[in-house]
Amino acid sequence: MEEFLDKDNQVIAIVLIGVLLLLLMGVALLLFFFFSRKKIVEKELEKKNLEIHHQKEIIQSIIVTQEKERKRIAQDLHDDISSKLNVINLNANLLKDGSLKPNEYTQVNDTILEATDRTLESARKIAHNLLPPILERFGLKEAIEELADTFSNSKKINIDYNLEYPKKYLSEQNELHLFRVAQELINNSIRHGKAKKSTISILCKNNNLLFTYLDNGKGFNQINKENQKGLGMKNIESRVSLLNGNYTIETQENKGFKITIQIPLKHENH
Amino acid sequence: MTNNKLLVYNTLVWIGNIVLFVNTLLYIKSFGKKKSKAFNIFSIYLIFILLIQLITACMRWYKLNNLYFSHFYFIGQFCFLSFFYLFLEKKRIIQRIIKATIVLILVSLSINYINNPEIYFEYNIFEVVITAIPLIIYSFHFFIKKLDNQDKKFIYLNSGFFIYISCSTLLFATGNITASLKKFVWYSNVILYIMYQVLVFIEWYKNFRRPSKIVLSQKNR
Repeated sequence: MEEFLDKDNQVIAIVLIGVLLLLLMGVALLLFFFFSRKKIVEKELEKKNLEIHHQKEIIQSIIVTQEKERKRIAQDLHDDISSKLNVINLNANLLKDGSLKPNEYTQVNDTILEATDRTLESARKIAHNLLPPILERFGLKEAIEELADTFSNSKKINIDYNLEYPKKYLSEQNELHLFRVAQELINNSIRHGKAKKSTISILCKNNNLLFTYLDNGKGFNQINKENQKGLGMKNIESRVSLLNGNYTIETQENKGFKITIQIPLKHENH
Repeated sequence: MTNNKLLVYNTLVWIGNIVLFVNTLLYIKSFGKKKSKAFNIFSIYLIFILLIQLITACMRWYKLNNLYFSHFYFIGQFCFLSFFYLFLEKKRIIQRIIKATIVLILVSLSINYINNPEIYFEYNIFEVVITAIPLIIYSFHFFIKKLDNQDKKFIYLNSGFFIYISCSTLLFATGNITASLKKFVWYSNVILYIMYQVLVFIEWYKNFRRPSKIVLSQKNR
């Protein structure tokens, strides 16, 4: 007992207790570190997985759109071109037989001419639909104007536009993206929104391009998940992300639809 | 200490030395293959510690005073591990702070020894504390850096070192006291030291055993 009361021994005892406490605290600190690190890494992984999932969805939508487009082109070719070429072929065979009266001869000839004209027109239309030549030749502003005019003339929908778009503001590739977005939006308005009127506007302000599209159609309930991401919307989303832009949608059931797309310039000006 | 107790203590010391020896061999085996300066400097640190352990053990065998070797141990540990944390650090500012700390502490220790040359043959608590505190701070900083990082390299090693250095500094601070309870201090120290060396081994086993495979599996995850 005397030994323990010795002053030096007391100091040693204090040190030993101190070391024990330090050890406990150190271990607690390490445990805390490992657990929080595990949680943080898990969160990061989750975030990355979500991102990958999102990207996969976009890729999938791109593939589905591509297939759809192929189907449409095939149908167009089959319905318009092939059927008319068939007519021409039949009539040409009639001519080859040579047993025709002069008035029949003229009639067959006229049919062939008419059919070739219509085929040419169809081919032009199909090509035009695939890639409007005006976009390449005159730029985005003219292309959207032409697009809007075509739809307005067809009486399906009346489109107003207000385009303050300086030539070559975006690169050619990006102009095509924005044009496709406009096309998709108009198609949506007609097909899903049953809209009668819509407005397209482009503004360039503070190194930002602001694209706004507005219609008076049915709109949709944003909370309803089914409506949220149709193929068309996914397409728009992937194109906007390719443009490094972001978009906001304002819509309610029976209260029209509005989308605003913002594209920063700095990614363009290189 | 009675003979029996001395035997237990010596066994513990030799267990620590054997683990240290194995670790040194393993780290030398992987030396240079990792292309990591930090790993290489840690291997050199292990060789240095092993040499000191062997030399002091020999001197004890021949009943020579080996107390002044503690200075080499503390200053060497400080220098090697400062460089170890320096190579692990990517931020310029902290690299500069570590470099400045090395210079500052070496200068202040030199001044200390020039003023009182006789403490060379004594146990220097000032030296123990001043060389340990920066290392504790670097080690803690390393934990904070790794908190949101998936890279697990040196985590086990750092955990072991953090616990060992913070506890052993307090134990070594009693170096100049002679008392009957002192033996517990050396027992605690050698047990902590074995823990530290075991974690150094785990570090090698988990992260450096196979050079390329680990990196690949991390990518595939």
